[in-house]
Amino acid sequence: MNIQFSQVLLIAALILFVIYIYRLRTDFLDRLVYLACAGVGIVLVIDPMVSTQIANLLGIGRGADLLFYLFIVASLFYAVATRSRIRRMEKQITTLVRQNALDHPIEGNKQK
Amino acid sequence: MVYWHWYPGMNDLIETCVVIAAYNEAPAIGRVLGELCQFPYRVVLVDDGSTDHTLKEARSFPIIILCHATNLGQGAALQTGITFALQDPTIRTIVTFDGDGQHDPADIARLEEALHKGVDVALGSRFIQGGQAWKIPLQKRLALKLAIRVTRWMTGLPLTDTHNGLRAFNRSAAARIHIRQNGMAHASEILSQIALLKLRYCEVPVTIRYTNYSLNKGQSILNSINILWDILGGKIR
Repeated sequence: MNIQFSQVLLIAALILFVIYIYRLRTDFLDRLVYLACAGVGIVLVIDPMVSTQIANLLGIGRGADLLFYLFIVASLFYAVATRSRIRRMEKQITTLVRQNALDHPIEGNKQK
Repeated sequence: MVYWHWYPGMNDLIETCVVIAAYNEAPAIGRVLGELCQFPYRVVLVDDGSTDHTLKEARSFPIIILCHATNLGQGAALQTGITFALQDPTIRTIVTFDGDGQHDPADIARLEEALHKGVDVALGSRFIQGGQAWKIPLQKRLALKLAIRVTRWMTGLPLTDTHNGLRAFNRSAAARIHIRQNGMAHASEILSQIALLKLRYCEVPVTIRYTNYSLNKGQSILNSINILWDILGGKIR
């Protein structure tokens, strides 16, 4: 099996992604990533050939393939960002429900 | 805020609080509480948003009931009960106990004994020498063995039974452990925190009584994938 430069790069990107979601994530960094994506999008609309040039630099044949790979990483990123938001909401709901339960203890029957 | 006054005369003697998480346990909870109330423990039952008669059944016993407005999961319910028990400064020991009738209240005394000998957490085990599990079905046994392997590897604790709902914490250990896994992943989470906080622990043989009811309520092999997912997902920032 021949390992190409682009494959090493993609695997490195995915590993970085995992480190990012478990260690580095903050709202601020998330927003930076969103901004960067938007910036790249604008550049590509202005000059679509840029993607092919970058792809060739990385050893990927077509610019469309590079975009597809980036799209996969971006959707993973979006899924994680959403999941983390849901998780935060779950924590808030837990806090609320718990406080409510603690505030209203019910005494069972004393006689039995 | 102390709500135990209805335990006349015994109030100051009882330093052990048993926390039960119950979600739709109406068919079993009466028997569980009936057995448990034969023993001198204070009991807190957390009704985790049950939609059946769990609350009605539980109200006829001399216990405290806390109601989650919506179903959060066993881990969240146990944490609510533990937080409540800690509000009372006279509570020295907190025991977690399953609401489906698979535990034997007589085992609690042995857990307390272990705590008196100086550990922070006493964990019930059905597989250690002296422990028992009635009629344990093959697929359940395999699922448990696998869970034990995985949890041992993840926490580094050399335990014989990692998913046993019967445990006892001394007060300081209970205050330091925070269950953040609302669902079933709390069992592994508690062990992770024991390892992380370097709490002293030991395993105590207990009896698990499998009934058709508790088997149906219990965790299936497939659900262990969900639990693993929760554990990994809980670490996402």
